[in-house]
Amino acid sequence: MERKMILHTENLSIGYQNSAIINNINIAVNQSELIGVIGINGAGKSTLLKTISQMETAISGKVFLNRKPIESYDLKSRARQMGLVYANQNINKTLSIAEVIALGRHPYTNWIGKLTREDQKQIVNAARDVGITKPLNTKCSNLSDGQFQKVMIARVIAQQTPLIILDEPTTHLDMYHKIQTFKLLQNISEQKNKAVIFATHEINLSLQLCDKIILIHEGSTHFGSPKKLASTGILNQLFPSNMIKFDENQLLFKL
Amino acid sequence: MQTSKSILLLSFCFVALLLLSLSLGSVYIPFLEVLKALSFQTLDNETWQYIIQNYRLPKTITSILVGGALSLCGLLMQTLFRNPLAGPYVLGLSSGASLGVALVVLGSSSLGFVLSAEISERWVIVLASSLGSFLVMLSILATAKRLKDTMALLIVGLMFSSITSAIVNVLSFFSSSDELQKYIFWSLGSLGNLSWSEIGLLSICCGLGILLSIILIKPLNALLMGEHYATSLGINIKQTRLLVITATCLVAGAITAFTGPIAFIGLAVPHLTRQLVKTTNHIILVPSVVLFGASLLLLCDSIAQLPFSELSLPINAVTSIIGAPVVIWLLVKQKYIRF
Repeated sequence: MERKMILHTENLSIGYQNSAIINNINIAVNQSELIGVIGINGAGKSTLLKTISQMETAISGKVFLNRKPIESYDLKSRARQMGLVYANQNINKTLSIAEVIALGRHPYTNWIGKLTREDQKQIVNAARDVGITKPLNTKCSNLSDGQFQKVMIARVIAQQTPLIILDEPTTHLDMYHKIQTFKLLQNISEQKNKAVIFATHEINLSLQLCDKIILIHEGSTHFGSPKKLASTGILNQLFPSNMIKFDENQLLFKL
Repeated sequence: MQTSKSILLLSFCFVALLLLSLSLGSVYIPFLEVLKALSFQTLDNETWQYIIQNYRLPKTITSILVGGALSLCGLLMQTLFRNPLAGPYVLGLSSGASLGVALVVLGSSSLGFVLSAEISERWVIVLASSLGSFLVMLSILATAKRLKDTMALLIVGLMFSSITSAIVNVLSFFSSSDELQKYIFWSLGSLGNLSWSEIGLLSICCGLGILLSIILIKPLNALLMGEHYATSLGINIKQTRLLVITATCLVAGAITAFTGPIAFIGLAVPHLTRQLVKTTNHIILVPSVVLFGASLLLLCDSIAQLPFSELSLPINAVTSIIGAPVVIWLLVKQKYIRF
């Protein structure tokens, strides 16, 4: 089956205030693909995601959503195509789980934000999909970091967008919750046919789980399946070789 | 259903305080007679009829408008700035109004212009105050268009306040004690003295403010997640910001012009309401805050009347003396701000 292309870039250059961090980014993301963005601290992972999601303007080049220039979408129709989960946002936690997930329905509700029966169904389904076990009227201030992250992902599922972008969704989570979140993202992309792009420091986990990897290294991007990237040898250059080595057969970084 | 119970309680308090405020005053009028006057029956006692129609009813309506609308502005500002310390006057509106009034009241002799006797002094004050708020509003709107960061706007508002209060200080330094007293009387606020036509004008401004707030319910809820998330949900932040500021300027400007800067209510009521209804969802908060604010100002006004005495206290003194300890007590009890 031919997979529909959701997002692609043409010679995109990103950075701040006209000084580019990364030039000539050419990536193409199809539906049902799980894409990990990896690279060392400060490589430009967040900047790439912010530029794709239009929080930062590109220095040059273009971003296309469904083969149309992303600027051609108005805010509301873009919100129906692309959902975001940011890192380190100071979020008001006095809302209940249901109220946070309901915000994901915003692009579909009327002027005062009335939830229809369909919206209610989507909210309950999204909560079930991410495995929220607490009652939906629980205040988010009573949730652990891991549980709250699930709520944020449920919110983006309820937004029903073909593309989901997450910036470091597993920071502050323990090993178990990290793997759980990764598995969840994999499920979302496989079962709901969504394109999921996320930035992460969990290189080993993403090499094992992702369909494709965007590796940012020294101002350029390397895009492809984990196997393809491993065969180019670029992964070996990522860290000083006397500290960490990359095992090409197992697709794992080892001490 | 904690929330609907709370709203029911609020509505009940509102009606009770409304009747209380109409029944209390320096002249004793039996409760049944007040009810009679309210149901458009003519009272046998013409003085009572006159007092209710021309003193108590205008004052009660003013309290409701001012209390409800100012609290709503406080809520809008707190959500927009994501800051529990924000209030309706945080943008420097009252300072602008104060400066306008100070220039007229304190500066008239030293600046060398004399008020024409034909224009009543009250209207000059109303005009000066509106002009002051309006100018501040224009500068805020101009700044808001340029600023990317909402927090910077908050600081700009604070800067406006310090500039104007410094000018007011200089003016008061050079003015006579008569003028100074007049200015202080204005700055203490007064809910009485509004004619029916002034109340009409005030209701239009407050009504528009409330209407704008209702339109803003959805974007405000999205703003609880921060500006980035709100944008990703399809909310136009700049437009929302302009609408919130316009609503606040309209309401706070009009109120300050007619009643003076009413302190405290706008900052405190949103907090008290969040504690009561236990939610931050604006679809519930907006009506609750209006009801709570109106009730609280009715109560403060009834206390300021010092019932059964000839005296009355300035309203600003009562709102702060009664209100501040209540807020402190609530915060200590709750141990954290529900924001």
